[in-house]
Amino acid sequence: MKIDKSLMAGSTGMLILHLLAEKEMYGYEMIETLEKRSDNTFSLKAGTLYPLLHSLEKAGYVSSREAEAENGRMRKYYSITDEGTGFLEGKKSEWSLFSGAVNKVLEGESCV
Amino acid sequence: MKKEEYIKAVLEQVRCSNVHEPLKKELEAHIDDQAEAFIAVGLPEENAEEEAVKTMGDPIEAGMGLDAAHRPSFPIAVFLPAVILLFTGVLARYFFEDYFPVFDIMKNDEIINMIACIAAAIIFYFADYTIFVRKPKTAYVVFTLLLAITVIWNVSKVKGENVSGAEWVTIVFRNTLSGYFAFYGSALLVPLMCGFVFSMRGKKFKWFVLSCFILVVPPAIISLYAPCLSSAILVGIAALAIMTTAVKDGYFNINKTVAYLFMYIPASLAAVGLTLIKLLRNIRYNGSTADWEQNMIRKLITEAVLFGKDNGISTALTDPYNSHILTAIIARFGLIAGLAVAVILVILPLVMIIMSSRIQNRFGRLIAISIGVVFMFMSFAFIAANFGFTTAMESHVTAPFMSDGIFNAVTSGILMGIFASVYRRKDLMPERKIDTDRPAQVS
Repeated sequence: MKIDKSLMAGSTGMLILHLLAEKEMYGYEMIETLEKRSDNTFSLKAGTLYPLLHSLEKAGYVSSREAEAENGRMRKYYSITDEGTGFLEGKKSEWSLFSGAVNKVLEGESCV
Repeated sequence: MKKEEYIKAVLEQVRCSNVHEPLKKELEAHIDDQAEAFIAVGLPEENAEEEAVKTMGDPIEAGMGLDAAHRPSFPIAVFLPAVILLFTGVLARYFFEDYFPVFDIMKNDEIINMIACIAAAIIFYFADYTIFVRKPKTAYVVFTLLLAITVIWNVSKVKGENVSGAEWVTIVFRNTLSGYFAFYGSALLVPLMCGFVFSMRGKKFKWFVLSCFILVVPPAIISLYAPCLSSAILVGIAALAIMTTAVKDGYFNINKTVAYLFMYIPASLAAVGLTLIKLLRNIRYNGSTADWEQNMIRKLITEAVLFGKDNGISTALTDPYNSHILTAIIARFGLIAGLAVAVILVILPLVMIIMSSRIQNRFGRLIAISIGVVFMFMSFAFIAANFGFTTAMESHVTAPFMSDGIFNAVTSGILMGIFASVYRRKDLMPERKIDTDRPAQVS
């Protein structure tokens, strides 16, 4: 099932940072991993990923380095910084509060 | 759409041209990876690239997003204290005129110096700082030779004790001039030192040792010949900062602990040696003009009022518009005003060094840190001299942006321009990194 893009908009950064918290990755690898983990629900376009990655880098949440892959291709690897780890924790708490509240409303419980 | 067409369409949206090359490489690698994956699942090779491009999404949208992520950064936190110091110097000198003697010629110079400082900063802000890595060894050697020729040319040829009054004035003037050439020339040599070290990446220990000597010995000899001890100390401190950053960032293929010991043991011995020489000199030559000046400044500081003019002893300051401008500010406006200016002088280099750590590009970070260290040395040495801990007469040290004089104005402007130029591209990594600490994860 295709999902509304706007539902993903606010959480893409969090998902990317979460992947990078596990290990450093290059852009294509992030898209592949995200697709596999979400059973093809999150199909991120490269045109969305790279502006986001570069913004996260500018904000100091990720850092990058270039390295040569086995096939001789130069790849840019991204990894999460300490600042990014702190930011990710905050975003996860925010998300947990938000999704919990949405579920309660949908299940008909009172949020108060 | 072909790969080249897609990348061209993306880059057309990105205004910062310096990011085009690294972006092109990153997008190309992504499309190639995707095409390879398509071929692996059976897509014909001739269609794979086109299908891979389709998965990239809208190039205009991607380009606009990347453009927004790469808007130039302006180091406002560094720019503000620099502007405050520049205008403090001009205003202070304007109000000094009723207190310290002034020559009409200085009033005209004031405007010219200010314009020169701003112009130098603007030119170097818009210039591409990576010029320092094009022919770095040649540039370093040529500039050092020019500096040597300029200093040797200006050092007074008149020696000896039995000189006339006019000859004595000439000796003092020419030696002061050669001292200024050595000091500001050494400060401007620092970005070239960074270029030289950058060109030594990946080299082994003997090249590291050679780099240390090449960075320190020629400019230090020139400085001592000038004679300008503060210039020699500046060279030593700047070289130490550059080489420490280079070793920390993995420029050299060496054991880092051995490298640090190789640098810091001689540097510590030199610092102890200089302190001993200074103490011995004080015992041997107590009562010299420099001591008289230092004692007067100490008296002035201890007797200074919190606000307003002092009791008048500061009118004997030898250089109230330049190397003693902070002491003169304390004398004319009070201790609080002087301390406020001293705080701004300390903030400027500290902020520079803190901001340098945010620069992703290794060469940019090297230049930015070294410029921060140059300003830090200038600020601290200037404050020490103006509060009577050392003598400005011996040191030739002036306050960045604030002191009078074309040398100080242009040097401050150039170094600030280079720093801002590096910072505006702080997130770019055009360099193919050789990171020895973290082996690449390949797949």
